[in-house]
Amino acid sequence: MSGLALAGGAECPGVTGRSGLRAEELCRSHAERVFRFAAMVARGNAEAEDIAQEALLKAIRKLDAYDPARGSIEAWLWSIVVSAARDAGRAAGRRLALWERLTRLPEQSESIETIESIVLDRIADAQLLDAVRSLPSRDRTLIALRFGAGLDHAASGAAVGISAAAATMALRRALHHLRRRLEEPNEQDA
Amino acid sequence: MSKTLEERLTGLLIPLPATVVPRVLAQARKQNVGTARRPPWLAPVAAVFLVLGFLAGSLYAAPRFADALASAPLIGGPTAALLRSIGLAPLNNRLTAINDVATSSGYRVTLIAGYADATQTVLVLRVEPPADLFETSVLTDQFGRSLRPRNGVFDSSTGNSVISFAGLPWGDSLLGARLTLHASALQLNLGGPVTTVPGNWNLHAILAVEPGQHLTPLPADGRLGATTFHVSSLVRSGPSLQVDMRVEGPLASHLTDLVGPAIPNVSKPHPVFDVRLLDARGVDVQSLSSEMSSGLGSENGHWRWLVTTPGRYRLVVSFEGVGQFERTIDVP
Repeated sequence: MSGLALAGGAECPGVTGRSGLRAEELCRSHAERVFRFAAMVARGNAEAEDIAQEALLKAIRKLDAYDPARGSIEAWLWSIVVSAARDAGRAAGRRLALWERLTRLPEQSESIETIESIVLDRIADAQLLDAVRSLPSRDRTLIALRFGAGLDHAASGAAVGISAAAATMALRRALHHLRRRLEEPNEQDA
Repeated sequence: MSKTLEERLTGLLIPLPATVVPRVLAQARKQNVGTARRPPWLAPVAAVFLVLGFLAGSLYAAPRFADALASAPLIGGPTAALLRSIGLAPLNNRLTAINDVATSSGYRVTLIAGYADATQTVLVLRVEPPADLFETSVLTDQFGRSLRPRNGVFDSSTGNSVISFAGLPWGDSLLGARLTLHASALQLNLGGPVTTVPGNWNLHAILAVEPGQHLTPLPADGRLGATTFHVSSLVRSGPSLQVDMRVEGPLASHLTDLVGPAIPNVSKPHPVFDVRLLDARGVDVQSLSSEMSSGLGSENGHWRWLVTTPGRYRLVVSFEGVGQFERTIDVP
């Protein structure tokens, strides 16, 4: 019988997947990146911990269903993590102004390097994280997958069910939104 | 030296709290996380197209199904109450008697009866002494394909339970389904803390599968703002109607959002997106289940309602703050 010896000495039956990957290995090896992702997606630190915990737990629960023949463990895991984050957002009852959701900002082609560098020089990590957290959920998700989890465009896209090219474009839009968000207090200061 | 936004994001210091991993592992142990079930939405999209072609074959098998129904006994008493409690009362006179028994760890599990159509598989069980086997149950057909439990109800006073699984995969409706229900643990939840009893219970059943009927024509696409709602299939099977819908556009990633204030004992947030089925009198049809499988910018929803009578029904799709649209569905 497959099993996992846990800290308390009890067994967790069935938590060794068909790939031979054990639940504890999965949890320990991915916890840091899952939490970085969660911290960017969540609206606060407590929610980030909840999301990371729920995502890892969900992955452990489904570990037995993971089939290496159907894709990498990374792709499988991150699709679960994204789903858990979405569920957490639903449970939190987050609300954004509807019309704001429907507004799609046009692509920005002009250079923003000057403003960006000025703004970035002035803000702390915590402020940057707050700015990410203030974005719409899909923007947060893409930024968190790319810069929190460290996934490339193809893996980010796979985690949310879109192509690498679409993920690239969507991430570019998300970064554009973030830049706009960072500029807001700057404009007010001016 | 100034860093780019991308570099700042990559370099953000976000330390993992020391409590997260131990909490996850402790929770995993507590919940006795066990056999995971393969979600049905992982099935290849190609299978959907094969199902369409296969329907002709399943309709051919319908007379045999009718024979099976004719010999099915009426299951009453506590089972009827259990079925009612999960909205499946109309199944009570459609059940096929099975009565297979497995004993392990001193617990005797009887698979009393079952029912299968294109959208659901329902098993009625009894555990003596009373215990619940929902958590670790896995249903497998003769091709080795597994079904996950959707929902279930357990009567701790009698040990009776009803577990509802997804519809059987294509192929089973033509050949009949040879099913194996495997449970690796029972849960005792009789007022005190939940106790788990490991064991090995294997129960077997042969069920005819009531064929599904794809309804056409499909309703026209609906639009709310810049979002398109495309009904991709309507399946009538047994006492249920299943509607599959693909949602594409800006609203797609917000279908599961909640709105409204959370005031204790007064109100709680409600879903911003709602799909209802109304009968000819304008009365809401009882919902059986709803599931969403999602991607970015596109979501696929699956809704099932209890539809026992033919007639004209209205599908009402609404998104709070944006609008709603209706489509008519004629159920033969």
